[in-house]
Amino acid sequence: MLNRIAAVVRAPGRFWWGSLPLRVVASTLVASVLVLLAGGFLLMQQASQGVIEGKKRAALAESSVALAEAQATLSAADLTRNNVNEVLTRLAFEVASRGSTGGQFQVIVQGPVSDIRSGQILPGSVPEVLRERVNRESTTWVTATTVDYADGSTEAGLAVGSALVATDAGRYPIYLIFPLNREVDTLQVLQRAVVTTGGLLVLALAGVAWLVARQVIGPVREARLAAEGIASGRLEERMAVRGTDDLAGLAISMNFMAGELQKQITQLEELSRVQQQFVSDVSHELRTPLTTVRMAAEMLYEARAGFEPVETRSAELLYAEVDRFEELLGDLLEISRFDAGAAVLSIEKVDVAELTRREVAAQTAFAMDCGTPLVVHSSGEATAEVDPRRITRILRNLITNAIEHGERMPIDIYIEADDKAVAVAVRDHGLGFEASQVKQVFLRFWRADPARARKVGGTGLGLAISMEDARLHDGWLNAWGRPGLGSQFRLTIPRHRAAVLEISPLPVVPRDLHEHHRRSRRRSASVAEGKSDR
Amino acid sequence: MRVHPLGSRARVVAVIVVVAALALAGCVSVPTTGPVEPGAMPSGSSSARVEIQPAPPVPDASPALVVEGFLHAMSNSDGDYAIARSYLSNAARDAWRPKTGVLVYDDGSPISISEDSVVLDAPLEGALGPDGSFTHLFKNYRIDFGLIKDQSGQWRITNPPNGVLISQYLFERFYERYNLYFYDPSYQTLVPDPIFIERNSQPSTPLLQKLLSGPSQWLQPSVVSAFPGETSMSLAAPAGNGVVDVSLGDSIANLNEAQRSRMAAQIVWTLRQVREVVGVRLLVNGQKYGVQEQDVEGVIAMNAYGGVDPVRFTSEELYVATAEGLSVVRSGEAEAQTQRVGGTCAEVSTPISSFTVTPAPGAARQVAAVVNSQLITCGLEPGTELATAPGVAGNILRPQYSRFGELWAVTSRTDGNSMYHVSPTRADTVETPIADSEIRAFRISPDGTRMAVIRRVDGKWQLGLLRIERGERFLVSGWRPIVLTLSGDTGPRSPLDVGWADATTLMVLATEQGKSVAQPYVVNQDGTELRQIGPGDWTPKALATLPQTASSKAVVVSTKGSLWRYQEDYRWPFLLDEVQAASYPG
Repeated sequence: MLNRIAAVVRAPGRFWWGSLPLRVVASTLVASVLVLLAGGFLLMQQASQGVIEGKKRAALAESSVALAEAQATLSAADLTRNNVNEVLTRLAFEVASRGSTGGQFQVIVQGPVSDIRSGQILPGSVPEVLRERVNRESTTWVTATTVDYADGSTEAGLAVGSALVATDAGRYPIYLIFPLNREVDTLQVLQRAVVTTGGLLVLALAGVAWLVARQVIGPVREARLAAEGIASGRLEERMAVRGTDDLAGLAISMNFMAGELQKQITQLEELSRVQQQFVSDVSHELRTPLTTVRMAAEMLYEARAGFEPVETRSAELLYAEVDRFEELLGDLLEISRFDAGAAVLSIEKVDVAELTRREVAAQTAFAMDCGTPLVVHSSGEATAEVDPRRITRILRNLITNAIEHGERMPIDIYIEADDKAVAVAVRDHGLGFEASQVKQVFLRFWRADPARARKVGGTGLGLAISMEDARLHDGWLNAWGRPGLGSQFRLTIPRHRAAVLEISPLPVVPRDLHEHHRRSRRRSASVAEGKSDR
Repeated sequence: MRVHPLGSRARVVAVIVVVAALALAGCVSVPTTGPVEPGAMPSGSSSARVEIQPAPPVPDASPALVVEGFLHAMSNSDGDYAIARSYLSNAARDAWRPKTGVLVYDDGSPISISEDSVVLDAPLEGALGPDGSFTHLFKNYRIDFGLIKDQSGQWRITNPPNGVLISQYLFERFYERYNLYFYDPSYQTLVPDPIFIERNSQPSTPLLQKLLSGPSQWLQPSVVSAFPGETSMSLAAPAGNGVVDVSLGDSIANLNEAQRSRMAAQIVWTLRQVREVVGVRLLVNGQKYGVQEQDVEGVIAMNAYGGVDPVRFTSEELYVATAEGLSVVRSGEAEAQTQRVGGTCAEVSTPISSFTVTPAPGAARQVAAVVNSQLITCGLEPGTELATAPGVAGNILRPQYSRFGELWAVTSRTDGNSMYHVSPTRADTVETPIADSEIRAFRISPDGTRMAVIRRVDGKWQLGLLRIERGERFLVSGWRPIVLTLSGDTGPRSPLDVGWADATTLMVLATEQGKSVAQPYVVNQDGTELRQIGPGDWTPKALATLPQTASSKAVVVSTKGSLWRYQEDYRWPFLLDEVQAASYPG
């Protein structure tokens, strides 16, 4: 359950790291959005600044005309015949109608007994600072403001303030309020345009990024497929070269590398084949003269009674070594059959335990010669589909090997089976070997101690051949060894031909290992009893 | 190694893309040519709405400033003239009744300040009564505001005017004219009753309140209202999309369908003048009030009651009297052609000094003509009777058929006149308050309720209105003069002939003082707006109009027999020659 959640949590990450185009497009999207945001902000800021600045200039120009007219009206008015409030009202109407014709501005006139205003704007639309300035100094002032209307609505605007002067009567502040609704509309249109263009641009950039990624990723993917093809043996696979760019260079290098590899591998294969052929040929060629030599040696050996002691010994040696030579030749031929792939199994259903017991019985005499007891631990029948000749050869090799390196300690042979596999382990308590030599023991002509005298005279190819035999069965042959703790070789064979091994019924590491100390004590006791001298 | 050079097709595509991009970039520029598009009409100065926000008296204000502040504050009625009241002494504050009426004084009348008083002495233009109707007044007005110092040592006014006092300029700016609509006693047609209310962004409520409180005092004897006397209205509130919800008291809950429709017609016609209103919904106790003409939402459209229009559509045919007799004018493409009328009217002898045609559409059309100081009636269709009206003789003015089919005739002498209601068998004298005046012309309004008359008063010709009361007998009463004065005139202009342009507007031929040639004007029935509508290089003697709601028609006959027809925008193109008299139906 937890695994499933973890998988779900990790899925986006896997997806992210699983697609280069996705990463390129996403990075382009994020980067272009950031760039466009910054650009849009700058653009809008400059545009609004320019628009407001233009409006301010227009407002000042417009108000200078309106204020001059208003001042002229006031100056021309006969204030002895006309009430100044009336004159101001008339003037406010004139200015307001001027302002409302273009829908440009509203007016507030601050008379001695009243505020006269147009367009339902409230006096609060004039900022207090502007009122103070207009009261203090006689010039035209302009400032930004919020226009408040009697119906509760508000909008941004500019307030222009000045004072009208009536000769001998007083000074009357007048404020022109320019709503900025058109400018706001313009800026909104511009903003919409910027947002729309930006959105389209982002999409287009993502598309472009995807196309570019596709262009880059296509050849890379092609190169990967080509490399995989070469690795799986299709050495003739090559990449197509387009243009003269870096990707073309990659393709050329890939193709060159593939060509070189193919050449080398072909050469090596040829060399190896020639070598194997040579070994096989040599072995065959040696057979005929060896038969002759053997017949001569046998004659000499049988006639040795009439020889001088030195000649007798020579005849015996010749006989023995010809034997060994023949054996070695046999092994070499066997190996070259494996190398040539000519080895064939002849499968039968046999009881491997029975096979083992028979081989142990065959070796018992030799073991007794060497003073090594053989102990078979079998838990019942262990039938499997095997080539009994090859299995017997493996067992013989392992047992001979164990006797040879067993230092006369008892050799345990374990046979175990489960539903799928049969395993045989041969355990000796001899010198053992270094853990690092686990692989080397199966090499051809490898010896743990080259200086060591050879008692049984193995060819040095036994374990190599056993390994090939085990492989032929789709089985395993494992070795375990420690200096002073002996070694164990385990053969595992599937019960049925088509089956694939998953687990062996026996462990690689010997079972008795953790009881090592107890066994040491028991061993010394049995030595005292005189049962064995090992 | 294979090398793919850029294909020729890709190169073409690239070139096209670059050219298109450059073309697009080049298109974005300010156009220097383009189609000619219509712009907005120039708007008048009235589009600017200015309001006066009066301030209460400042501490230690001079008497002059207090009076000026008070005069200015009276232009804003907010909170029952709360600011204006703050200029009054405590006693005067409670006693002042601003709703009594509005006195309008001439512009350019400053207050005069002496040691112990502040006085306004100004000619009055007119006055609004409590009913909102405007009356011209020709007198001076003098008021001493009676300033005293109150307990805190501030000057305050003890003698405010009776009602509101306002200069003509402010009156024109802050008051607006609307018509209330009432019925003639037979409920056949609506009659407009012009009133003034304070300029208001939501005029529906004050208008309907005025409507419910009944017609103005002058018109009251001639008209009736469909509302039961005790009808109350709580609110006329805009309900969105231009629909106004009118909440009425439940005294109208039991009215029948006809009564309901009449009432709704009065409301709809009154609110038609408010531009924003496109529909009316009547509510009683918050529930929809059923009226025949409403839609499923209960909304009555503004054109639902065309049948009671004060100006009824009649034929637009123009009739003329020539030396041959009566003809109808057929306007051809090149020039106007005349065609003799049929029926008995073809037999009317000449010269015809004046005549009139019945307005009633459909019915057999009749003509009343003045021939040799006799009133002759005839029909335009064959088989009608040619008759001489009995009992009407002398200097007979141009007669008129009213909307209701009555034939009115007036005989005038230098020492008086007689007005007749003429029927085929007899002529009944109608009682008028101006029987001892010489009369030059009369025209009855298209709704048949008012009569415009030009009479001689103290040797001068004067235009005025009379109302027609239709009780058991006809009664004409309530003389109201209409002064034809433009700013800068030394005296009123002298009217020559009159006609109705629509239900409340008159078209007048009048002569400026010291000139001999009359010019055409339009004037509304309370004389507050006078406007010249034509040039003056002619010698007109008679005017014939066809009242219409949209664009009224008019022709002028000159002393030399030329006929000019009025077109909008000051134009009077020549139409015919050798014409003795002209008339539209009605």
